[in-house]
Amino acid sequence: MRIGHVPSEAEIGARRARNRALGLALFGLVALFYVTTMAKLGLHLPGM
Amino acid sequence: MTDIGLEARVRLSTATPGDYFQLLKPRVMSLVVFTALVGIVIAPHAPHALIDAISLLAIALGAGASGALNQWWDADIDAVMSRTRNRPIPAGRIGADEALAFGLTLSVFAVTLLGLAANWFAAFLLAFTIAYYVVVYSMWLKRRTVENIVIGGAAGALPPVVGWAAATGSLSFEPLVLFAIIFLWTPPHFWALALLKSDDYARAGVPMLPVVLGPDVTRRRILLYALVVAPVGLAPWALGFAGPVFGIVAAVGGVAFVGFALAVHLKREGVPARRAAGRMFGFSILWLAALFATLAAERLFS
Repeated sequence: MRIGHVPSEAEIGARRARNRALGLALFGLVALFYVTTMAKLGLHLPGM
Repeated sequence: MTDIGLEARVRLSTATPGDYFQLLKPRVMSLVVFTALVGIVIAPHAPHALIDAISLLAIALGAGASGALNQWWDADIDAVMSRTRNRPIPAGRIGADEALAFGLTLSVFAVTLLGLAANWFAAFLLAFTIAYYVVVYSMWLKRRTVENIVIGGAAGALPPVVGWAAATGSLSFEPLVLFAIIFLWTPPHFWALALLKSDDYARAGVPMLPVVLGPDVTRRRILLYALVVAPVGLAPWALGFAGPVFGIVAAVGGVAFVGFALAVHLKREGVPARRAAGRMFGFSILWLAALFATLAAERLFS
């Protein structure tokens, strides 16, 4: 027997979309700070 | 101890990433990005495409954070206005506390990013802009005084100043002139909208000029502001930091601005009155965009 709230399909879908967006945002954050650091230090980015 | 009743209260959010994007007020954000970009472009500095782009992103995120915090605070009045009742909070897609957390997190992130990428003076100005929009305009002025957008307009006028500061680390009279143009442009722009949406504002209890002092006073003030903002639009050319193309655009645009304001002043009844207000609102956006685009284009292609 399951106790507690059973998420609906809509809730699961929305949560999945939010998780993906959050993952992308975190990846973007890491990339942004890396790029900013390289640029501020006057270093060249690989391939640029 | 029982969990009866608990299940009924628990519900996972159905908010999508798109709803959070809507919290950022993307249309306002695009205007902020545009004016801040012009501030960066005309600033005397050795352009660094990456740093300038990151600065612009930080300013955009700061504007988005302001929008989220504004929607958090104004959720009750947004719910009763036709223009805003489908926003994520009044529509029930995002909780007010979620919007608050999102806005605060984004504010801290935007200010930190600008400080690290550009300089801390620009970051301070961005923080000041966010605080001014949320605390001074949204929380303090908007529901209390008929002069809400006159004073509150300073928040929307600051992005080119922040952009200039991000590029140079200092201030000068040029960004302050751009500030003055947007600051003086804001009241006639929003009063034209308020003439069209005065029922909405009245229902929400927001003391916009047409609601408190009536449409005729609003029309007179729109004309007065137009008579001031038109010559101020010429200031960049008169002060020597814009070229002749800008001078022509500002002169022609200024005459048209006054013309549209005059039409609003003269047409006071029925459909022609609404049409005049709608045209004033639409043209005011075009006027500001044309001035700033010309200023940037002259600098980029000279």
